[in-house]
Amino acid sequence: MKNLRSMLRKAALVMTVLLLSLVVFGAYNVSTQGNRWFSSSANTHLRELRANATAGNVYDRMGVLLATTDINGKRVYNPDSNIRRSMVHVLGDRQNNVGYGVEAFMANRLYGFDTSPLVRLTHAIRGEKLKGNDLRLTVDSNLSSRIARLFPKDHKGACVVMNYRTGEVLSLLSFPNFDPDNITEATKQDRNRPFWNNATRWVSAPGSTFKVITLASALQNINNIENETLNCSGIIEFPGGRHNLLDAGKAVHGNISLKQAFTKSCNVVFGSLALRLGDAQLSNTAAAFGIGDYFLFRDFVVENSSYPKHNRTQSEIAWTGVGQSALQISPLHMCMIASSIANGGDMMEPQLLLREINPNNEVKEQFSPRVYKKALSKEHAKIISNYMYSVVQSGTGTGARVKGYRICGKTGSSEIDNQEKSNAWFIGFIDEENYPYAVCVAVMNAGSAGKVAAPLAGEIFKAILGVR
Amino acid sequence: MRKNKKRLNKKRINKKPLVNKLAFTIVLFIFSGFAMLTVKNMDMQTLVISIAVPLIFLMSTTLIPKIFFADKLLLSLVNFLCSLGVLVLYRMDPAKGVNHAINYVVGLITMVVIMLVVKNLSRFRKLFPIIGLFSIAMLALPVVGGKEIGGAKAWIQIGSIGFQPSEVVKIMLVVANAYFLSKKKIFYSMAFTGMCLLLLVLQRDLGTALLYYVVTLIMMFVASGSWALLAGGVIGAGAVAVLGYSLLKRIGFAHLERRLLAWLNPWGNYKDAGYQTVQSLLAIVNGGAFGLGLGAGNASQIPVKETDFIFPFILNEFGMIFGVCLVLIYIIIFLRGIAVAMRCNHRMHSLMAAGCSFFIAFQTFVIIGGNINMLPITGVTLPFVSYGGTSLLSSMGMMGVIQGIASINKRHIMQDELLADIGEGLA
Amino acid sequence: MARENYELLALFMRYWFVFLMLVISIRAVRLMAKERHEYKKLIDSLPDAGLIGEIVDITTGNSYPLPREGDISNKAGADIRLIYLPRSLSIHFEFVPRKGIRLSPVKRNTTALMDGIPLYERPYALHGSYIQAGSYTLRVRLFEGVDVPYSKRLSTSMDDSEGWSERTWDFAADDYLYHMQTDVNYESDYDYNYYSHQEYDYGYEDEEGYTKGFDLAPPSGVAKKEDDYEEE
Repeated sequence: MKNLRSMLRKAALVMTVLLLSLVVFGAYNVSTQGNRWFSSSANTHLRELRANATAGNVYDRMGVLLATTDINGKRVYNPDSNIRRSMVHVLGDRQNNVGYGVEAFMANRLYGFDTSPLVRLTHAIRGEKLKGNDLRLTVDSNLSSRIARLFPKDHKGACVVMNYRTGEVLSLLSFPNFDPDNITEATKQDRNRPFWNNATRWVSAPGSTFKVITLASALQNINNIENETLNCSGIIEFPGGRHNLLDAGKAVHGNISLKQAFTKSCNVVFGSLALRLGDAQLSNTAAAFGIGDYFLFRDFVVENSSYPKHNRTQSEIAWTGVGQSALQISPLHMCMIASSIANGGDMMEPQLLLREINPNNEVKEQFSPRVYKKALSKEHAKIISNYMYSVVQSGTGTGARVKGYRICGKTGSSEIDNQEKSNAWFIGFIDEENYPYAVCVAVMNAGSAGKVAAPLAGEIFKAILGVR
Repeated sequence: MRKNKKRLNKKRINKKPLVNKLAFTIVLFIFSGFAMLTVKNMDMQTLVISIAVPLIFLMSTTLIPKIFFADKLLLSLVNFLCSLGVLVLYRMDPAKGVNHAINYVVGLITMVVIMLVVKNLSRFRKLFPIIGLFSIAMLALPVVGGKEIGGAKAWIQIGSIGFQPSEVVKIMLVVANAYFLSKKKIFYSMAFTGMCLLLLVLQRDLGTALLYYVVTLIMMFVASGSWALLAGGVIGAGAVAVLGYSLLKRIGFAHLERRLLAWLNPWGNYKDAGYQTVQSLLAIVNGGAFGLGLGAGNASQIPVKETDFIFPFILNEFGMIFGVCLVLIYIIIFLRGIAVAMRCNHRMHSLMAAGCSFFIAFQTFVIIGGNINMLPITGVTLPFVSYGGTSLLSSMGMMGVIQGIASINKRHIMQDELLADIGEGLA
Repeated sequence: MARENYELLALFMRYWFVFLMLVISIRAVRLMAKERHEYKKLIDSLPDAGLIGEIVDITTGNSYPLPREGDISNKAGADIRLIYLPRSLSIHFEFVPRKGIRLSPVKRNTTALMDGIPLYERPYALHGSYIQAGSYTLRVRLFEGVDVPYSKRLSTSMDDSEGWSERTWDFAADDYLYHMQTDVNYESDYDYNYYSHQEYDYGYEDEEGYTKGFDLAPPSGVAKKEDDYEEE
């Protein structure tokens, strides 16, 4: 019996731990993902809950009214259809077709779900509907609608503009967009998925824009790489003959420095660098930039970026070094990466909420910048920033130039299977004290980044700087 | 001997109040819950129920301990869970609520009957072999002439009453295993359980099969103390799982694949395979910490909410803090059952009490785990609270076993006290 | 009741329910702790709770408390651990009311004996029985009041009387039990009729009541002559 008792004690302990683990699991999941579940499109009850309260108003950073509730309880958006279209992926729509829009994701704030029953009671006694809090977002609707008009028509893609010092998101655009006041059957059946937010939830291989990470990895792990003479013979051959790494337009660069290779976006050099670094070092650097993280931002639901893990042959590693293979990164994340380089290595957390004000005009929540992670050292960030300046000055990104301002950037064209043309990416930032803004544009099926993405970014920079 | 017993009873000076503090709070809870429902529904039936159920609770917690020796804490908690079940089910659908209340009363009777049977277990010694054959026969029935519900052929319909033999066999499994293991006849135990498992697999009721397997494994481990056995059992189960997974489609378990998919990625499939899981998670989150209020919840969309998914429904209306406390209640019930098992003087009794406790605890773990997506959804129900007559009866039966063993322990303690008195020349 | 008003009421009441639930949980935990505490106190006041006697190793004089059911082996988790017992030898004992202590070998080929009976016949040990296992000879002593038949060993005390402690007195069984021991191979000297069912012999003890040494003779079933008892 003694033996039985001691065994019983052990087994009972395990069982109790199992039962307690239920609580722990539940609490952890709800605390981290609860808000997402609540605001996802699957939660149809959100509509019911919304019906019983008057949602607060949503303003952009300048005070432009983006959404309000009229006397009949209907949600009314900005009268300008351009603004509506450019804001729709940020705000969401009335039926929650766009998942995780502000109207759903921040429903707690907007609808006042957290108000105490006492306040609700007073409202009920007075016969008023409960009113939620007003929100002021960090986005600039004017800028966004301008960018939306600049974006190439009939192309899918995304555009993100962030303040790299604070993490405020100025623009978050996804294309194709739609008018929330005019959702038709066609919109719902559109195979280009206008409801999907490509800026945050579409991940893809970013092409040569990834070379900033390969560059960072080389600077961190290879001594004196800046002074080395690298050779580009136009091709890296792999056994089997398939997946040979070539440069765009079959260019052969010969002996060049690292800076020149970056400026001209030489695939061969960066592919060789990737092979030299090895998968482990390259993936570690990528992880430092947040690739592979499980994103749990307060204001955004972002698809996780991933570094490929399977089938790591030599050719795969080389192609990863130039931003192809199975890399998956979202445009918002690429913008964050650009921001970290601009911001001396500190990657700020992207935020959308500037201020939350309750019906009594008290500020319930105020924006404060948060560092998400430290991606790389200040010195390396400076070096890469210089290289990116030279890309815009004399390299593949000259289309993004704005006279009189220091613009830094990197182009990237990524080839996608079964897609006729490559995706055109551009990441960049304005390296000026008064205009600390980073941009990422991605245009799908558009061809060369230098011809499509860079000029678009240039226009965006001009719009930000207020230059004609 | 009888004279001595009476003397012993007189030694009990500490008078316990008729309704202890715990029972009082529970009655208050149940009553206020039903009062709210009466306010909501404003009809006679609700009023009757709101008086009847607390009354049943009070009667069972005060009368049963007076007549037989019963573990008061367990009694209170189990009655609380059943009453909570009636409350919530009534709110869902008054017909089900009334049905559950009737099952509750029947369950109490079952518990008392089984308690009496277990108390005098030695008299039923002859019946043990028959129990084994009976269980196998019971489990074989659905395979032959059963009704198919939810992919599993586990029900038998007799006239208008349907019941699940696997629930009834649960208790017999524990008793039979306790008997075999106490005599160190591990092979008999394995053979019997294996037979039951086979029949369950044929019934396609894999959730219950898992329960049977795990509880038997735990009982064997506890009885033999051999870690090798435990390791073998776990590895064996893993091997079967892997093997079974690769043969899934061929042996007709296609719906399992759906369940696994729903478990791993419910949000990606929230419209079809993951629908139950997603709705359950949403119900919990919509409730928040304090819930939306009894009768004011919005979880009516969860499928199977009366049985498998009653836990998210409760959390929707009562909140997550309540949910944590509910799990705590189950833990207390489990630990009390184990305490009873620890105090036993005979291996067989200890194994019976332990087996029943582990059964209830593990079943709770599996069902709540499925509700919060920690485990895939299985077909088991939440003991005591879920709708379902046979489920409630079998859980009450297990409670009856534990109470009966507690009663035997009490008898032994009284004998020990008598021996002590004799030894000191007082008796 | 109107829906919105009811929802408001429910919103207020939810705090009440959560409060009550917390109170219920806390009270349940405390009740469990309190009952455990009381139980522990009870067990502490009964030092021999759960035991029905003791097993004495007659060569060394060590006594081991005897629970109602358990194992005798040389393993660490055994209820009665005898270190020098051979590894394969493990005896399971179980108290069966009105019959005695049932001994059974855990493995089939056990050479242990109880009162000369091999264990695979599952004999019942009574007060005073001897168990021979390995190099050990053990004597079973039960508390007075334990519900077993009258011991057969009582009257076969040898030259020295068996020591009786205050606690290990025999239970005055019914007289028909005298006829139970028919399967035991005793000498015909043994006279059952000496003891009427009203009296029994308390045996020898010194003035302080301590046990007076142990019966060192192996079990042989040889009884004393009638004359010897009349001396006492």
